[in-house]
Amino acid sequence: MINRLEVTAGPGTVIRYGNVAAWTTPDASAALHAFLIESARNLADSPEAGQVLVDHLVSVLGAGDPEPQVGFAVVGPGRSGLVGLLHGPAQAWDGDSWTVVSTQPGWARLACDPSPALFVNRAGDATPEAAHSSVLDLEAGVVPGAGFVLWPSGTAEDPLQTADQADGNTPEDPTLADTDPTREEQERTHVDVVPASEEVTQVMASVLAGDLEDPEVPDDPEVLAELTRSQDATPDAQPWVFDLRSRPSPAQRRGGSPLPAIGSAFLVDGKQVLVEGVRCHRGHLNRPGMIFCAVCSSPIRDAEEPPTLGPRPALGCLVTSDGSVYRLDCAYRVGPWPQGDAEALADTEADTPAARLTHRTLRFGGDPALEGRAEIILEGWDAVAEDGGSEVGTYLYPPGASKWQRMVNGSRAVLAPGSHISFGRNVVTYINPWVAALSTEANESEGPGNSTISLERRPR
Amino acid sequence: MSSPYDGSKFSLTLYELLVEDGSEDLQLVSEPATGGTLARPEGPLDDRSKTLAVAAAARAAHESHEAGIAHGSISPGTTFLTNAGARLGPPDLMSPPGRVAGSAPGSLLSCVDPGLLRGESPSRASDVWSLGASLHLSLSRASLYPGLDGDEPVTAVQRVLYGRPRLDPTLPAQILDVIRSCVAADPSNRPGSALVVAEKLESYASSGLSSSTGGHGGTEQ
Repeated sequence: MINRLEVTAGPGTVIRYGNVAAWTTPDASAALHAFLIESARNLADSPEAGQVLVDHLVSVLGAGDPEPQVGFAVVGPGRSGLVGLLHGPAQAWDGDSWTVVSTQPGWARLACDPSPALFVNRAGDATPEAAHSSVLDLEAGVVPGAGFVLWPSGTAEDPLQTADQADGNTPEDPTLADTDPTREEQERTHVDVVPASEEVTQVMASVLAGDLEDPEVPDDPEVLAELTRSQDATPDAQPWVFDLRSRPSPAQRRGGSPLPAIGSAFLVDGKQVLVEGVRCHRGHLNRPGMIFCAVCSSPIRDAEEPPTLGPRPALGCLVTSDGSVYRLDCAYRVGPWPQGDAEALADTEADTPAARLTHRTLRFGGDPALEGRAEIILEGWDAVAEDGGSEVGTYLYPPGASKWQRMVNGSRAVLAPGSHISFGRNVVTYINPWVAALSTEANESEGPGNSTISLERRPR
Repeated sequence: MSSPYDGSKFSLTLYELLVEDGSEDLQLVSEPATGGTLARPEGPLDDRSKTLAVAAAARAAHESHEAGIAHGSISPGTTFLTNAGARLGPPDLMSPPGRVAGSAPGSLLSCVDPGLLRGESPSRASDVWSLGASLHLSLSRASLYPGLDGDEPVTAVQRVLYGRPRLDPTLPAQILDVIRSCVAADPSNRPGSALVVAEKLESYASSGLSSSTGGHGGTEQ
């Protein structure tokens, strides 16, 4: 039943013996590992190994779930196709639908006919890349892995490519568009267009595909000249017109992996940032010391136990004075940053890759020179403000403070949730749902950032 | 208005994107939305049409999800009403990177998954949340977060982040079930896909709501 089992690199454990495959999250107990390994070994050649194993697991779980927070999955042959069981924070994609685990009973049966493969990994993580030529093909044994891609027997040498060829489409095939140019031409009134070049349409494809962070606008004059022009536009104000009609819509895009059923992994340069935390009974990682989960509000049962290592969630948001809300999943810069400084910062990033992520820029719409120069970066569970050195300066107003406090040029301060940060005339408020532990820590110390900022009256 | 399900597409068809020289502004040319949006329809809409419009948005979202794209800004304001039916508009291409909501948080935040305010990226589950909130916003005069519209920005964010949505008890039970499942705090307790939401709403609209009735409850056909 199992043709290939490609292991996804990352934390966790992947097991395969014969036609039985299993996966566990890193917090699985030795007892669970032993059970799964022994079961897989014993049932490796059974024609209904998956059914037997799933039925046994269901009976065990029905009598009491010994490790409700642990994610694991088992897959094997059943009476009619592949069957399996997902437990805790686990998800499976069979090419047609997702299977995830709900709170009750905390596990879910899986019966599927993968088309072309079955993807199994931690709930909320990105769908693993399917690479049929992957060298991480597990024949038998127990190896580290964050999940697996199971190709059932009978799949072609390169099922993905074969599937595309079979239906006559490739990911780049522009014939996927099914618009009606005639009707559109009648309805379009103010712009006359001709088909754009491949380079330009690639730009729009990236924009429509969600790559909105840094859409690349072509700078080749010939490419731009090829683009269509407004009939009414003056030579000084000609808009670039990107014809979207020859491109597939986002929904018609081929080659993109479906989104996972819940969430998405918080990645930094393609890697997860790991921090110590405590998990609620649903498996959500929280800041140490918290007694209720910031995600689902459920109690954290093992708050007294030592923290475990897990992927760090994002750290809340920044609310600007004009009401815009920015998610705090990476560092932000304010004000102008000369290229030289950026290069110097890049050198620093090499020392703390988990702290300095791809920077975004907070824009306030005014003169950037009046915004000062500062950064807000992520370190562990904290957001940290760093003054970049400017005449305008950076000011903090932590919760409970009675006045603005100016940061010393080049200094840094850990931000307490609720802090206001002022850059020139612009004020940003830092909101973080992981607050319980921070307040405890703050009581034990002098308070976030107090040792690194000077106290000056804010100029009016 | 004709059925939202004329044709096979549920996303607003975009014709062209215009970039003014020297400007960071983008202009999109799309098929005409003669009916306005679900937030501001050009004419009266009954509950069945509103429900089907959200269902169409859900189908559009599902199509994008299957292609690996999360929308991130589903709301009645981005659900357009065209001659061919309801269509989900594109994500906010003008939004700066990382921005979750714009400068009018009262109305927008009520359709934003609290997970996004925790800093999470838009996802299948957050779009499902937005679909549920959009449905509630369309069918009820009561806000999911009472008092949100009058809040200052920071207070509004905190209300959504730390509060729990309050559902209008006067809505039909089946609609409440759909909304309640969509806005579940734990994303794993929400419907596994937007398609599930669409199918439930279509089923309900076809059996539980008359097209000729207004108000919340509708009548049995």
